[in-house]
Amino acid sequence: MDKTRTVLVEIGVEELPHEIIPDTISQFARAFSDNLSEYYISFESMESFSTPRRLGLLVKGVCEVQNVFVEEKRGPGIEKAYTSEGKPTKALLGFLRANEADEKDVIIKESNGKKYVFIEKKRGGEKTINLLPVILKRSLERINFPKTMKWEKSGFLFSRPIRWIIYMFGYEVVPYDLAGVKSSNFTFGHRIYFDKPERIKEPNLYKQELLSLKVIVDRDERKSRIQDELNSICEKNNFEVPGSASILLDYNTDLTEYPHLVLCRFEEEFLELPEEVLISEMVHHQYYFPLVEKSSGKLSNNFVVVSNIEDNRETSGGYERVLRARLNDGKFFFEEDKKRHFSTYREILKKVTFHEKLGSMDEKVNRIEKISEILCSHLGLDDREKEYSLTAASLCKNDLVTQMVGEFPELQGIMGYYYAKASGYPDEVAVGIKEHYLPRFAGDDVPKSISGMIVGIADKLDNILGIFSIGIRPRGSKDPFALRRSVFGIIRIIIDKRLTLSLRRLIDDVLPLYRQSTGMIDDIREFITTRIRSIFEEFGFKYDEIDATQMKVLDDVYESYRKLVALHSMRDNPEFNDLLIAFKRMANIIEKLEVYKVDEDLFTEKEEIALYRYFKDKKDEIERHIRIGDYEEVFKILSTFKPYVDSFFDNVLVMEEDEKVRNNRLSMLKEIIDVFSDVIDFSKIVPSSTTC
Amino acid sequence: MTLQEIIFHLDRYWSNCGAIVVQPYDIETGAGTNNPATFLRALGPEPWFVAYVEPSRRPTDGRYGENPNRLQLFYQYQVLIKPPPEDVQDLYLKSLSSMGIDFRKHDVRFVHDDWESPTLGATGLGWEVWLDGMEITQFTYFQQVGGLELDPISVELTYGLERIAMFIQNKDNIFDVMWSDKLTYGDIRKQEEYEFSCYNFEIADVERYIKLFREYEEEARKCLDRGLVLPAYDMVLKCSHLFNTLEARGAISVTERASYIMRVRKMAREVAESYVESRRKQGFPLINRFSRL
Repeated sequence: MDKTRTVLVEIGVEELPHEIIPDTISQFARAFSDNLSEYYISFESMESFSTPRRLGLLVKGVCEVQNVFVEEKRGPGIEKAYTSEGKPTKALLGFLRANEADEKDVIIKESNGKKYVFIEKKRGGEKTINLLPVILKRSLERINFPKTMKWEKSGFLFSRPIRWIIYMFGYEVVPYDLAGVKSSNFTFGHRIYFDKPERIKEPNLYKQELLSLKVIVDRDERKSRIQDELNSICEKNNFEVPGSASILLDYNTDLTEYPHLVLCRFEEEFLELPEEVLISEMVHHQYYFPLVEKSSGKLSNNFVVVSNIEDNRETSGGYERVLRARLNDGKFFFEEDKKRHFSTYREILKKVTFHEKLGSMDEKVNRIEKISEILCSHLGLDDREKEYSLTAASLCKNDLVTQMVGEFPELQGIMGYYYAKASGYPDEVAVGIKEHYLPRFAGDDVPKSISGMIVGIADKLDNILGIFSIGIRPRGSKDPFALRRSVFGIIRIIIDKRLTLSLRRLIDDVLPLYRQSTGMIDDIREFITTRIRSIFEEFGFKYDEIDATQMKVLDDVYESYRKLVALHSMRDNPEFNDLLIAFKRMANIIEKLEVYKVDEDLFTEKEEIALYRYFKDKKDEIERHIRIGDYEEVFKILSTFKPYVDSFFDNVLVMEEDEKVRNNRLSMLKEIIDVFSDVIDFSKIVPSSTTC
Repeated sequence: MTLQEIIFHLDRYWSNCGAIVVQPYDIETGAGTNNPATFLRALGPEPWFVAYVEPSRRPTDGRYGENPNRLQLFYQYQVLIKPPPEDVQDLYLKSLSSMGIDFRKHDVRFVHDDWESPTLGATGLGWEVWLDGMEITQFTYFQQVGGLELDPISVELTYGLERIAMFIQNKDNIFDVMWSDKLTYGDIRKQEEYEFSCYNFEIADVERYIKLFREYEEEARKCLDRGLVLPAYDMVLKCSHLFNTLEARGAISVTERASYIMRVRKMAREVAESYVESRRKQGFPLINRFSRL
């Protein structure tokens, strides 16, 4: 039985950015285990540990001696290795010498279709402890960080400065040097309670020894500790933690080595503030857990802080003071802002520039109002819906000049909602103001209200047309006005709300609001069409199905989307794909040729008669399904053409010499293709690698 | 501990560590980083270790002396250590514990925050230091200054003196902080906060400031053309402050902002390069003048 030992690695660092710690330790563990395998060093198990100040690996059952393995080395090709008499050449001898091998070790094998000389070398058997330094080096090099830094003269790059390294093989220290740090068997305990280095006595008891130094190295344990204490506080007091705070469990786990929870409170008067303000302050700025009363579902004036020390008799005062200062600001702004009627902020928008060449925010809102009006009429909204939408449009940017949004810019839209309500506007208007920013990112919600939908589309469209009208075009990674996101938002809204809307007509009607320049409208149409294509690709559709169904996308995005979905749903079927290819052939054949009306008397072959007859039978049905937009059914009927189409192409020569017969066949094919042309452009289909 | 005692303590502590204690710069700066004792000395291969108070002007933060936490001028305590010793974090923590802050009773944390100054072309990685949830220091390992990669690296510590004083004295309002044992912060600075807020938000003449910006920009050019790096940098600082005031005045649109920042950054970059060149011509005089910490 091979002798084994435990390997202990601990990279001691200055606090790592909390968001990257889980990924970092996982990368490190994987790299280390991969490297052990690459060096043929077997081990039984690996545990990984992390705190903000250390990355640890405990590897048990590591063999003391590297396993023996066979390494294959390829030498010269057989014609270069032996002379015509079968004697070894200089090239072969050189190769053998470099690898300390003999002629008798030579094996001939094929590689890439040629015969080469190979030798098999028995490798391995080295002492593991001699290989451990290079293994650690390579493992650390494999870790990818979003940002790295230098801190000392070797210029080594890492996420944060490395200050100590434990590297033990059993009780032996593995010599290793990195960035001015020498490996040892000394660690550092909790920063506050232990200021001197402490020796690790028993590597297998790493976890326990660190615990006695007030460090919980096991991340899962630390996280459970926080979760359990949080649950206990909640149970005792009938609270629960809102879903929006769930990320805090991970953040706080990665911000402490020795977590202890502290229950704190803020003055009840702050509960008058909008919940979003309170939660934004607690969760995003301070990493505090907000607490909701289980009985009412309302936010309470209690919160939980995760501290890194044991004695928290005085810390709660500090935690509360910080929050109080921010909430005081919030309260002051909220009261000040509400002192005037929300509509009066519109005047101030005249002094805020939207863009140098596009004028003030007030002018932008003017355009949003006009676009909203046109949009309402295109969508056939009733007077009430239109009134709500236009009112929401007129107010949608007012909150940008309030003090609250000036201080807390992430609350734009949300404060507009509260201020509109405070000034007496109906819910539908207030919600529209809040929702017009949606969706802010992929996966975000779309507006639920009609006014939010109208103003949302109008605002985004104004961004696009406005920026294009002053000659700016988004290119590559340069899209400072986030126009791509604006298109994305509009498309998401149209599809989610199933709007029947012609973007082409909308853009044409709205264009007079902007300064015109040559080529602008073509550029806009192209930009939007290309963006829609990318969006559908992001949704998972293949580029050829997109090309094949998006012929009229600017005229009706939602219908084009439905055609795409229907086509996509049939692509798993290889027979259907074959049929598409056959139709593609048909479309290519008739593309450039002049065709006439079909004369059934000119048919000669039974297969063409059968195909045309089947087509005539199905034609009305197909057209009916296209009219009602049942594209799934259209494709299903299409798939039934397969036997007829296959028979036709197998037995009939389309490009018959006789001009009349030829033209007749072409005309038939054109008639068939044309019936489907509103739904699918067969010429755009690309054979996939799965079909033959 | 009064505010002035805190300053004496930090001066003494860092001087005991080997730092030179210099005086704040006599031109408006937005941060201790802008002071030539940091911006210029961080560049090039010569070591450096300095500590100083820097009154920092941020016109957009003015609140007329009515907000208990926000000021248009506040005092940073700035330390630059080039190159930083291995135990730099401990050195920093001791500067606070030796002042009486007991970390067994107050939760200190290094929370990831990477810092950037677009006008100075400076970037660094580091942390906000939180004490019971309140940010009291920015701790940064500079990687680039004036657009130039640094070697050796500098650590910058920027303490927020008002916050530390409020913490130690247990005050919720900055104006109640004892500056000396007789006078409060408000006694000394409240009127100033009011008057400067009025000026920055309401009175500063936009046309004049735009003109002054251009003129200092030209003056900087003149200095650089004559190889006078240090006066050139003074002009850059003036431009930077003019820009900050124009912002407070609401006179700058989003696109204009980017353009102003670029103009300052361009000057800062040229100053940085010229500075290194001028030190090189002098033979990097301080290269062996600092004993190891």
